[in-house]
Amino acid sequence: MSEARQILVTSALPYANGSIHLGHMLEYIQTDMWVRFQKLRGNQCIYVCADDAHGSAIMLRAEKEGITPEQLIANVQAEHGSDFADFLVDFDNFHSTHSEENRKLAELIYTRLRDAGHIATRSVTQYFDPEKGMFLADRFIKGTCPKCAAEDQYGDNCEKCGATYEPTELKDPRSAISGATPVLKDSKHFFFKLPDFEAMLKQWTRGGALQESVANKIAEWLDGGLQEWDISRDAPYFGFEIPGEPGKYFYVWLDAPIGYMASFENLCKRRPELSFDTFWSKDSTAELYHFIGKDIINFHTLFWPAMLEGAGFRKPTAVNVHGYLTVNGQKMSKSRGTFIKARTYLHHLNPEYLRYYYASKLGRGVDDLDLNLEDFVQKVNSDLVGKVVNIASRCAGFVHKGNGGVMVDANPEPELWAAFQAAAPSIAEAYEARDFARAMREIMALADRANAWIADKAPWALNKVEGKQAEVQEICALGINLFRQLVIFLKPVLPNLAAAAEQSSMLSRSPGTTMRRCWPTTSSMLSLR
Amino acid sequence: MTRIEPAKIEAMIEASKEDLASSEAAAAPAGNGELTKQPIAAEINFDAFAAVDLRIALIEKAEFVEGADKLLRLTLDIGDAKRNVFSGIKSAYPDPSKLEGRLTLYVANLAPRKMKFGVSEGMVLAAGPGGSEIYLLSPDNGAKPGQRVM
Repeated sequence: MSEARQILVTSALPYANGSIHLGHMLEYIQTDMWVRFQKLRGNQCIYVCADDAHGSAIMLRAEKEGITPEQLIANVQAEHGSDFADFLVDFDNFHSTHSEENRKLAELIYTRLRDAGHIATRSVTQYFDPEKGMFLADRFIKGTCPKCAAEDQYGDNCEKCGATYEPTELKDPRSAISGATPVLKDSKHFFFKLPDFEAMLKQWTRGGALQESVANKIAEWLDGGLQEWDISRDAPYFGFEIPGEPGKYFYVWLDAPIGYMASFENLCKRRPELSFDTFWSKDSTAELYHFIGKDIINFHTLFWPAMLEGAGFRKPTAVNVHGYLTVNGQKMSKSRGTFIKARTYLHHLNPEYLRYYYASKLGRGVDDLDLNLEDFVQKVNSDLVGKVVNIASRCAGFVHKGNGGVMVDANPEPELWAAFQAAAPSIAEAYEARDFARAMREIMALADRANAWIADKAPWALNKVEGKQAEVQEICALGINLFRQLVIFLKPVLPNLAAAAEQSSMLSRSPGTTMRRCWPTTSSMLSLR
Repeated sequence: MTRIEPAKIEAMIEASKEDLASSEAAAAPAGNGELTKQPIAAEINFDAFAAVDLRIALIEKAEFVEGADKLLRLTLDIGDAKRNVFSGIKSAYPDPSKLEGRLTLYVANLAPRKMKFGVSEGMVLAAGPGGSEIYLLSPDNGAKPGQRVM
C-alpha cells in the first residue's frame, strides 16, 4: 500500500443564526461520507468545521432576544453540535469563527495582504440609519420597487417582479431595523485588490481544483474582469476590528473561511501529532478540500485562494460544489411542512436512512438534489431493508439454530465471492471521486446478485430435506460473508449499521481481520475453524 | 435497521408545520406587540438623556397651515417666552382649536428647523404610529408652563 495521504477537509460554516435543516445536512453528510471513506482507507484525514458567528444579522438578533451576541452564538453552537453528532457527522473539530485563533489569523492574513500592497481604501457612500446609528446592508433597507411599485421590497431586488437595483433606487426607502428614513453617508472602506491575482486565479481554476461546470462559471467572471472586494464594515458590527483602524471591522466573509484554518489550529492544540504548517504552509504537500454549496462559489474559488496566495499560505487542492436540496420537487416550504429541521427529522427517523438516500443521489455534478419523500421511503425500504439487511435475516437464523451460531468454513460459490472482491477497486474509485451515487448503484447490484443466489439455493426449503443440512450451513455462511462485505462497502454511509454488524456475535467472534481494517483490500472470508 | 413506516413521514411533516407555528409563536410578542413593532433603541447614558431639555408648554394657539396636509402651527407659551412649532399631528387633531389651552411636553433645545412655512422651534411630544393614532402627551394638573421635565 502506498504511503498514507494527509488530507484536511472542511464543510462550509453554518451561520450561527438559525437551526440546521435537511438542506444543510446534504453538505455535511456528503463531506462526512468522503472523510469516513478516507479514514477507512488508512489515510490521515482531518475534518474541521465551525460556526460562522459574525455579522450584523447576529448582532441584531441578539439585541432582539435581549442577550449578548456571545450568548447567542454559544447557544447556537451547542444546538448545531448535537444536530451534527446525531446525524453521525464526525468532525474532528467544530469550532467558532469568534475565537482567538481566528482573530489572530485574520489579523495576520490582513496585515500580510496590506504590507504586500493588496489592500486599498476609498470612500463609499451608503444608506445610513440615523436613528439606529448604523450603515444599512441592502437587506436591511425596505421600500417600494422602482420598477413595478410593489411595496415592502428589499434594498437589492424585488421579490414581486424580480428586478434588481441599487438601494438608492428604491422609492420611499426606510430602515428595516428602525423604520427611519435612511440618509446617504460617506465612510472609508477597505478593499482587497482581487485583480492583483487574476493570472494566478485563471491558472488555478483550470488546474483541476474545480468541477468543470464550476470552472466554466468562474471563467465567465474572470473574463468579465475582477473587482476589488469590500472587506470592511463600520461599527456597530459584531466581528473583529481591523488592526490599527478603530471603528472598522472585517466583513464577516473575510474571516469566515479563515475559520477553517482557525478550527484546525485549535485542533492542533489537542492533537500534538498534527502540525499547522504541515497543512497550511505554502509548500505543503498535504491535501486540502472544501465542500460547499453553489451559492458561495465566488468566496471559495476567487477571494479565498487569492487571500491565501497573497498571505503566503497554500491554496486548496480542490473545492467540491454541490447543488441545492429540494423536497418533493420544490423549494423547501414552511407551510407545506417540507422545511424540515435536522432535529425534527431525528425525532421521527433514523439518520442513516437520509445518509443512504443522499448518497444514492449524490453524483459529481452541481445539480440540485430532490428529496422526494415517497421515493425516500421506497428506496430505503427496498435497498437497505429489502436487499442488504434481508441477506443477513435470511441466513443468520439457520446458522444460529443449525450450527450454534458458528459459520462453517466453506465457499460454495467461488465465482460470486470473487465478484464481490473484484468490485472493491471500482467502488473505492467511485467514493474517491465523490460519485456516491455510482458507489451505491454498484453495491446494490451486488446485493441483488447475493439475494438472487440465495433465492435460487432456497436454504429454507433445503433445510427441510433430510441430509441437506450441511449444504444449508455452507450457503448461509457464504450469505453472511456477502452481507459482511456489503456492510464494509457501505460503512462510510452507514457507520451505525456497520458498528452493529461488527458487534454481532457471529461476526465479532471471527479471528483474524476485523471489518474495521479490511476495506477495500479484503479477501479473507470469515469462518470459525 | 427496520422499514420506514410512511406514518413517520407524515408525522415529521406535521411536526415541521408545527415548528413553523411555534417559531411564529416565539416571535409573537409577550404583550401588546409595541416593542416588536419598534424595538427599544440602543442604550444611552444619563448625560445623553439630560442633554435633552424638556419643558412644559401651554398651547396658546393651534391652527391649520395653508398648503400643508399634515402640519398644525402651534404657538406655545413656555413661561417667559413664546415658541412657534410646526407639528405633524393634523391627521389626529382635525379640529385644532380643541388643543388650545392644553398643557403638553416640549423639546426646548432642539435646533430650529427651517420649513417651507417658516421656522419650527423644537417639537411637542406625542405617542403612536401616525395617522389618526397620534396621542399628544399631557402633564398632571398643576404643572406650569416653562417647568423643566426630568
